[in-house]
Amino acid sequence: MPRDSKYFSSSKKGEVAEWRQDLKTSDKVLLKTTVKRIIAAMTVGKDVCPLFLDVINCMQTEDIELKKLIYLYAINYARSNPDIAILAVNTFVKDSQDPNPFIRALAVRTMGCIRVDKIVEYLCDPLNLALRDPDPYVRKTAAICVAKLHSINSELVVDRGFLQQLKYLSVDENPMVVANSISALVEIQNGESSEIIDSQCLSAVIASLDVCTEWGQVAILNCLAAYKCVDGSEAKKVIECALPKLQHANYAVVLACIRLIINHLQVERSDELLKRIVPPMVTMLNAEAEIQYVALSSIEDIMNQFPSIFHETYKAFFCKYDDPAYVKYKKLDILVKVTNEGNVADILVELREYSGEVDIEFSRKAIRSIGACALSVPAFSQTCVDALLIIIDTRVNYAVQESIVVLKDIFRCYPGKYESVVTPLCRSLECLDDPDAKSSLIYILGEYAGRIDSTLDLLQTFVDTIQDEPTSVQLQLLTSTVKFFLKCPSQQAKTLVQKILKFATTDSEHPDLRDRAYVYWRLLSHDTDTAANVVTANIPLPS
Amino acid sequence: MERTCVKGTTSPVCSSFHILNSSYQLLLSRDWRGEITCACLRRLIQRLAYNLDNGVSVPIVFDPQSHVCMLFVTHNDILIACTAETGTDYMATFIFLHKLIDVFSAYFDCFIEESIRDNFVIIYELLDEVVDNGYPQLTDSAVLGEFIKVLAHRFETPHLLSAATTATSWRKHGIFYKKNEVFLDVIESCSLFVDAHGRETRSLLTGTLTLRSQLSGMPKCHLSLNERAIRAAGVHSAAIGTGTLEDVNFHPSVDLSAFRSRGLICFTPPDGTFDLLTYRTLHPAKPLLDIHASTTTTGLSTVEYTVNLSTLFKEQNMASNVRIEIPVAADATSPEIQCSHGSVVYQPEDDVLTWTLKNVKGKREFKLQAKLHLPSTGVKQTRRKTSVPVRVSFEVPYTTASGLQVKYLKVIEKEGYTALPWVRYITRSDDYAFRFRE
Amino acid sequence: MGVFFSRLFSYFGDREARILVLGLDNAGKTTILYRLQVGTVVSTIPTIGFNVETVTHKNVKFQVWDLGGQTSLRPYWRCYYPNTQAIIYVVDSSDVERVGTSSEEFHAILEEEELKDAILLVYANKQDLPGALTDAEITEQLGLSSIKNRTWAIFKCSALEGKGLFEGLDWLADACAAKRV
Repeated sequence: MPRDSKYFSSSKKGEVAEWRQDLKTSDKVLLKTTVKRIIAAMTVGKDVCPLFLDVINCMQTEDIELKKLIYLYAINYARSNPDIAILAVNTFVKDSQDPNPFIRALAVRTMGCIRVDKIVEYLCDPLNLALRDPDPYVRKTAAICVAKLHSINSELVVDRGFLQQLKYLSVDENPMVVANSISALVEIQNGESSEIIDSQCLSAVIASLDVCTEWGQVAILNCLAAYKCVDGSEAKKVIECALPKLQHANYAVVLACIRLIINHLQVERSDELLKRIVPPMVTMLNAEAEIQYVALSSIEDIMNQFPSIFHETYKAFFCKYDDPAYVKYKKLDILVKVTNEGNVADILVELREYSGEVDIEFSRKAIRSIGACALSVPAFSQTCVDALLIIIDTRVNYAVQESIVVLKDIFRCYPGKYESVVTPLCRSLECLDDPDAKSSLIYILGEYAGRIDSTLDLLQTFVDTIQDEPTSVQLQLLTSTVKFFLKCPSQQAKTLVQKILKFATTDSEHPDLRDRAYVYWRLLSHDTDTAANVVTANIPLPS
Repeated sequence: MERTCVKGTTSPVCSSFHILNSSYQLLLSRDWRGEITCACLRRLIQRLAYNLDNGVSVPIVFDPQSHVCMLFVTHNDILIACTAETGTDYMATFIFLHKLIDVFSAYFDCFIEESIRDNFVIIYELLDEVVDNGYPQLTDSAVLGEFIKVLAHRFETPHLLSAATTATSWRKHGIFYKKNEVFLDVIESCSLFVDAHGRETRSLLTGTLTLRSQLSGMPKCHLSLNERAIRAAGVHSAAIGTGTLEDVNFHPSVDLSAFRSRGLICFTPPDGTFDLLTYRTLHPAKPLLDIHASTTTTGLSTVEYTVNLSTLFKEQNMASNVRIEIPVAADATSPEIQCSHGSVVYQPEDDVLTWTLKNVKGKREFKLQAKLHLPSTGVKQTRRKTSVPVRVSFEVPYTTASGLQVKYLKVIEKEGYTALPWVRYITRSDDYAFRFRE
Repeated sequence: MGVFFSRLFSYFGDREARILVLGLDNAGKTTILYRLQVGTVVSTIPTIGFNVETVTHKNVKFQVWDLGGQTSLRPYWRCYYPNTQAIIYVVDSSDVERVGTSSEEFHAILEEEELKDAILLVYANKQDLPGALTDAEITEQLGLSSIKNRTWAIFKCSALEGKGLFEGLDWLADACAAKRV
């Protein structure tokens, strides 16, 4: 049983006490100012919860602006004051029968937001009336309220027949009522739209699509997307009614329509329909950055199922220099996927431009994309390699290093194909400091040991400074030196191998390096043929 | 992106709404569904702050501990964000956020951090009308404007509410004008990007048909465009030729089924100004002008810039307010500039030479030469080529680059008045850029 | 000129008073409130919470708070006690079984420190129903005669028929005015 001390003896000095006093005033101007101050304090996170009763007592007012503010306060703090919140019920119930439909809707909407169990049962009668209200504004609010009620007490919704009434409202004459009813039904059924639409009400739902508000159309289209058509003629009807929506100004509607078409295409493939999706998706790429981002992600998804439809619109994925980074990266991902023999030449030129960009991360990603193109369109791998060589020629530090890493992967996929490249490559050694780049180059030296004149000198340079290199480089150097020796045995090579083996086994702290060195030593001591098989074995290709 | 965007998704568009300032402090919040805990919100904001501070600007952050994400848009000095269930319809949420920004911008001249404090009462009222339980209700600022200002005073006439719920929610009954007129503006925006080898890598033409209607009653309008426009995607199979429209988007007031079946644009216009349709072509006829820009380094400390402008459009047309921005080296000084037409200004603070030509006719050529001096170091340096291209802005009135024309506009109203339609065409540059030639 | 007159009026009239209408559930509080304010009988539902209306009578502006009388709501009455000039206590005269409970609640109110100066008006309501106790019987049941140091009165009334209400309000208005002077 509550005692007065809890509500009134306030040891707080300052504004809260002052407001409490002001809330009792008969001066309407002061009252409204005080409530606004309280809401302002609430907005900045100050605790005005202790004022709950005093604020609630001001609820019955003819001033709509004031009423809305108090209702807002009530929604925020009802849960912290579940007992006192009961006192607000009468006002809500009265307001739900106000001659002004706006007030009726406001009352119903607010009651639904107050998630206090005790109050919920009092919501039922007003809600019942509101669902049948002559004014559509009230009905549309009531429809959403049923879903709110369901999340608090789902049995009540079924027992009182609200679910049935909601279904009835889903074919109301007013478009907003329809939109909200469908959204509420979807939420209640937890996304199982098979419960919402059946063959009988399909025509009604389709008819609503044309008169509904844009957001309602999004809800209906998403619903239809999940609906499994009974037969071909139903499917045709659904597609026919959805197609005009591809021209809607609201891209959410357009995308929902595309979703519907994609789902349908998985059942019955149609190239003509597939082609229809492309122009609206490309138009979205001229919208705001966030919209572009979602559109690009959707395009990626679509391409996973239908790889070839965007091949011809590849130019739409070229990056503008002022695109935000996240959009550029997505476009790069798609450019790689969209490459085919018809467009790879243009795309490669574009990628080469990007590799010269000031944004290092973007430049490196562009170079990696060139590599990916080489792997996905084998006929053009030579062009890609040429492009990479041009980049290496620029002598721009990070670009060169990234290119070498990419080239290594290309060589591994097309072994023996690009030998002519290797020599110019070795000329660019001086600017390498990235460990991946060094390892890649050393790998290449090992692979093409016989074809490069200066392999020995180059390896020598590395071996001389091996103690300064990171472990990944040391490991690669070890393997490549041994490979070199096996392919081009000579006295100098042997000396080199011995030097590095000695370093690896005695001077190095790293267990992996030591172990590998011991294995090689044993193999080499035994039988160079077996050694050759082991050392030059193929490792799995990069994807 | 965690979940695919293409699978069907039916959750509410947003769960709660927040405005943050540039220091990631919450300025205003509204929670519609009571699903997000304080801890979750804190984690999301921390993640957002971490990302943005480290240059990762992806507009979605995910909470590792729950199935919630936050989507945000940056606007001036504030962040507009909302939380939603991971895997919801992200497109709908972003469109909703942008529409909210439009609504707020329509209400406050400048939607910045300060305007939130000054207007929080109206913001709460707007949020009440715009969203219910996380589902967008009404996001059209024209209708909201009718609606929300009245609320400040005693709400006398309930019938105004019908504006918020009817199918023609964008137009109220009982409008009257002594003189009934309609003004159409066909505004095309063209973008072009030419790379260092003279190749067009990007070429885009978009257009908007803006209508200003001063019509009485509830008129029905029929608009017809010329042949080129009719061959748009959706009516018959899209013919890819020069100047045809590849994609068209209509204002919600347009009867889309009528367009699809008969190629007619039928609509009841809202009062005042609105965009009737927007369109896009991927293959515009030709670039409207061409720039050939190159640089040569002479000696150790002089760079010479040569820029040639050619206008490619019809001779009788004229481009106005042509402005060419030529990026120059950062440490250059004492420019010596010669140009055949127009005026040039060197702006050292932006490292740019701005060449302005007031009016230029079609099929003409103009040349600019500028010599700039660099601080001498005695060594010939290989300068990193600048990645900033030469940017051009211009407009060509009385013409559309796509060739689209309005054939007729018929206004039918039961009162039977005649309305005078006026049409204007203009093509503007949106993003015209040319790299220096190699 | 206007200022002079309004000051004159505020001395003689336009007093303001804050009134609570209390009593068990179903006593008729809400019906009485709206009878006084609007003049007609409005259909009511049990008040879960409160109703507040302004009733001006004989130049006294009453701000009347009608509080719900269900058992679960009675503990909240005390939240409204501060700054109250008068209590209207409504008894359902036909509910003989519960008149004892009504009396208990009534006396609890009298004990309250914050209400020690409050004027008391008791309505013996529902006189139109058969078997209703008379106002004398109610007086006895509530032990009104033993009340000391307080201005009080009891009026029999029927909210449905509109009888007796304004008589009570007249008295209250006079009592409030008298108290001010």
